Amino acid sequence: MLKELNPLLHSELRLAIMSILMSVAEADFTYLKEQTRATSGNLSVQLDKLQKAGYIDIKKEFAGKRPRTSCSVTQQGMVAFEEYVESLKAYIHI
Amino acid sequence: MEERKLNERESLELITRMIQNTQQNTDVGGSNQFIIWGVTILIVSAIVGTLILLTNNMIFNFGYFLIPIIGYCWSKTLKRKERVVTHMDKMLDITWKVCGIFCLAVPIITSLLSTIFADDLIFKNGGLYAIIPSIEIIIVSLAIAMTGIIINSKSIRVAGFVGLFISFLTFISAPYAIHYTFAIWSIACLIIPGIKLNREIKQLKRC
Repeated sequence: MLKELNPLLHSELRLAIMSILMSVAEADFTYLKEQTRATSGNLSVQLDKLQKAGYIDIKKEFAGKRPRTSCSVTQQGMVAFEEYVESLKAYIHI
Repeated sequence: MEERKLNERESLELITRMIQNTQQNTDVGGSNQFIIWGVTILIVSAIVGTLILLTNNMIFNFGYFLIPIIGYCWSKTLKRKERVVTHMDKMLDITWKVCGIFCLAVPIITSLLSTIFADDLIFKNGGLYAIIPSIEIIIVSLAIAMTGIIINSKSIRVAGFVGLFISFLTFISAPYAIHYTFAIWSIACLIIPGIKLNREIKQLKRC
């Protein structure tokens, strides 16, 4: 029987965020916004959901006088993402 | 991009696209750091060497402690916070932090040991101080070679091994010449490879 896909990752924007964060050590809010072409509000909401699930870490700091929000994937997030990809492969028989 | 459900094939395509975009948007920085530290070492060692040559006062050796101060402040002014930090950036950061700690620890530990065991044969007349430049060059050259391996740059890799060779020259060169050997090493192993790496990055960006 096929495993159910993780509903938290099975959404366009959250999956895009996780895919970016899986390939880098850290990315800031502006970079994620540029890459996903999402609105700031929507991106914030999705980042919050991923953080609450323990999939990403959000660090808020100041770069000079400007506030900077940087995100990185957690160990739990990596495991969830890998499981999600494995499930996807099973669905489309790769 | 909205919060919409995807089918399985779309999901895999999105993952592939995002990872590819991220890889295209990240490049290797840090070549300016090579130049900054190289110029700092070159200037400080040339000044210290000349002062010692003119005055014969070994106290000027403490001038080498200016290298981490000037280098750190200078690189801090040029370093901008990157929007994306790759795993490679993190690895390089750790490599150079460890290198910096070792470089600072060597003269401090040597000074402490030479003070505590001043009568011991090995430390007599500041004997151990003579090997500090060689050890420092070996440590930094190792970090240069590792950087070259991590970023896959032949010129940086070669610079690391050239540095290792130069470190042995400091053992055989005359005491006054050590400072100038240090200066030559900074040109050969930091400044020139830094400029070359800058060019390589610019060419890569143009492609």
